[in-house]
Amino acid sequence: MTQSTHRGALSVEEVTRWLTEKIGQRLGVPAGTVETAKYFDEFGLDSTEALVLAGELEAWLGFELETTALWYHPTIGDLAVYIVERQDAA
Amino acid sequence: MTPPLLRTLREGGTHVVLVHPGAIAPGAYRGLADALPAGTGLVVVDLEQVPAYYGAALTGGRTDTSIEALADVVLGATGTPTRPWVLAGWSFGGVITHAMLDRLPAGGRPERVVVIDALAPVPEYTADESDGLDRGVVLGWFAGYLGAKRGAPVAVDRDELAVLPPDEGLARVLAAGIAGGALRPGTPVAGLRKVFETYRDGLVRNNRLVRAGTARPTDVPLTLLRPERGLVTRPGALGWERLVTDPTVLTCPGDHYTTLASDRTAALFAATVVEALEQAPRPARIA
Repeated sequence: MTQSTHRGALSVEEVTRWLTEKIGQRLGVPAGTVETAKYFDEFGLDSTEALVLAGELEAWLGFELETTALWYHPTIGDLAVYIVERQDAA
Repeated sequence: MTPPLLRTLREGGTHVVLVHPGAIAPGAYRGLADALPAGTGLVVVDLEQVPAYYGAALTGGRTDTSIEALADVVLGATGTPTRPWVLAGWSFGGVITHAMLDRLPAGGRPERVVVIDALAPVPEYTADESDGLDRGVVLGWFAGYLGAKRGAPVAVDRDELAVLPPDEGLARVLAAGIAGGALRPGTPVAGLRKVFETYRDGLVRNNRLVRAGTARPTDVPLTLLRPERGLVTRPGALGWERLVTDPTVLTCPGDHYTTLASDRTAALFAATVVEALEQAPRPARIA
């Protein structure tokens, strides 16, 4: 499967939307029902699935993300804010 | 809830202390534990619960811990077991068992060390920082790891993977992982690459730890359980002959991971443990 990289500056809302869609796909539920304040491990993502998600996210972002990002920013909301901050700092 | 550092897989005490280097669940040793006779206890010390060790695999293999520090963590968790006892370790866990020997009081050392597909901490079996780890070879190990981790087969030809261009090899693992049910359909190669890089960083970490340490010879006897399709194909005792006089090498079925689930491996493990415990010197009777 090929990955399309996002172009241009990202907003917190865009990153949140991407994450809720991807997690929704994994859970087989609509993206709108995915809670953004819930911890990633509460979605039933094990460590392998969390890494797969991180790799897919990097491909979309077009820049590398520390492997620890999902551990230090353990909710969709936290991670989206962190990613946008990192992008702005670059 | 954080998983515990120390996990009892067989009630009865610390007749066997098994050092687990993480990567797969400690439950992988269930077959080995169940093969022991009733009353022979087995505890697993799970290094993945040590943040300085586990975290290093998430930060490019950079680590500020040491083999000696990890040996101290294990001994801190178990104390010095009452003799007779056997010290065991799978994979990198075998390296930690060796470091523990120097840190035990002379009268408290185990009757025997049993290592399972563990490369000895000697230069011949340690990758140089400059050379790195051969990506093709590591990809074959990774396929085995993925299968063990996910509890589903990842059927690949390791020899073929070793010579394929890296991206093609990873795509081959991805296809096999999806076909066998280890990976979700639609998993992108970018996602699997992240899993692979983290696995590889764990190996880099282990190599760095070994290079920073100095393993000294010991007089505690050692048995190596060597799977038919283990980590390396070089014949012999995987370097343990440099540290131990006449190590016993027993061949067992499977690869680095699947051997842990083999009845034959479990039987060899149990027989080695029983023999070591029975041959231990009895305390002198006081008249």
